[in-house]
Amino acid sequence: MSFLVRFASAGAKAAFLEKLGEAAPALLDRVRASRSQAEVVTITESSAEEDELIRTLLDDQATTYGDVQMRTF
Amino acid sequence: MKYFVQMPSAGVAGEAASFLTESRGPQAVARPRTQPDLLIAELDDHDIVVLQDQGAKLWEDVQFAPLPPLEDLGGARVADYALSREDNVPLVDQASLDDVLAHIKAPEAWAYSRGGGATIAIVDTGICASLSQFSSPSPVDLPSAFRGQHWTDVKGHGSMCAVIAAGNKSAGGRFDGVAPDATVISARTTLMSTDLFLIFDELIDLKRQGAIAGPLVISNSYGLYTCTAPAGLPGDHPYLEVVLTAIDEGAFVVFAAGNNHYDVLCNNDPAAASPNTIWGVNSHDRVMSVGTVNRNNSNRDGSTPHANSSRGPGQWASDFPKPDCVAPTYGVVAWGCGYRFMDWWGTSGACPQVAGLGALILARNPRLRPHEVAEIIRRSCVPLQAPRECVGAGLIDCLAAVQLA
Repeated sequence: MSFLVRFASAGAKAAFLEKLGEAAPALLDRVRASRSQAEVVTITESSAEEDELIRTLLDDQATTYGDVQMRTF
Repeated sequence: MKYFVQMPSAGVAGEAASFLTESRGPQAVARPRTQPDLLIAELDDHDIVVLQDQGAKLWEDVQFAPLPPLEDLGGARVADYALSREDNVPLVDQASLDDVLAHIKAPEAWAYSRGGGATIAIVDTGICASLSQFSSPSPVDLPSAFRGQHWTDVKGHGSMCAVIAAGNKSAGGRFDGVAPDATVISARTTLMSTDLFLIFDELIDLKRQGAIAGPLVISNSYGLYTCTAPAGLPGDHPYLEVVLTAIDEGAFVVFAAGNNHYDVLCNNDPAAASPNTIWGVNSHDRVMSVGTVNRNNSNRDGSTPHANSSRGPGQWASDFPKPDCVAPTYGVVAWGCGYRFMDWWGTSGACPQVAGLGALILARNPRLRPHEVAEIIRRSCVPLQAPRECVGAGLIDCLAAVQLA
């Protein structure tokens, strides 16, 4: 799946990315840090196993938003 | 619809052919002998998503037609007929984007501004690049799911919106759009919130870096088809936040109100002004939300599909009830790499008219902030005899709006 994560701080985001890099370095290719919002990252096209890993590594202060599909009007 | 589908390899093409044969039957798929990585197949939206996930490139089928004698065209340009694909629309005696632009007084506004120096980002299904229709197509390559493929449109919708906003006859297009001299950025997207987030995020960065030099308008002809408040899109969602950040950076952001009211989805009384069917970001105070009307300036008449134009006041609106305004949609318009006649273009076709108007205003007065542009557009509208929940401040008037800028 794909989702957006908002961390409590830029430091919390950096700590998460470091842990993720150690546990699943290939996944970092699909993580993009927001340029306009320092505490937000997007993670795209993760597998079910990767989803589980991400949830494990996220601490309680990070808020995860599921992806929403919109359509043309 | 039928497509040419190029897969990354012959092996992947074989797997794709098996998938399509299983779901659609053997007659729906052909494998050319000379190009083993290619398929020719009937696809629906789901198939397209699946195949693109596997790295497919798609080209829409093209209907060629013999050129008729000039006199059969009643004066229309031969080139116009040659460019007509898929639907062989009669090109004479029918309303078109030209009439819609006259309806909103865009040509009269061009004496003051044609949008030069402003940039319009079309966040949509891509834009067909095989026809030159824009005075200044931007080479910006946004980091969405379609990086490197933004100037392709296998659906057609994004090309429609782009031409309405900023088509240019001098550049080779059949129609001028509302802001014919504006620069166009194609932001092709899957319309998933993560992908939309990345597009807005990058546009903000480009604006901050000065890579988008002049005023920026962002046109968004998409949203949620739902009759009740949508789940999964809370008010603190990063997608909303990134849209608001773009506005903070000076971008004028326009959304289609939606097509939810009548027989497309919610089956409400076409004459009614309620219930609300404008949702999420499309309903926010700080974005411009645009409904549509027919050629008689009505969206309460069930005999035309314009009655589907979503009703306000908007899920999240408080100070500026939605829709903010309306624009007419009818007739022949661009679609994909060609043109087609449609009774209406949805609120999708209304949104880029206001995006183009925003570009006209900002090109004339680049110092204006987004909320000032919105106020000028609302203040200059022609009031209509209909509830505000249906038509907002009324029909946009490009001439009056540009004169106020």
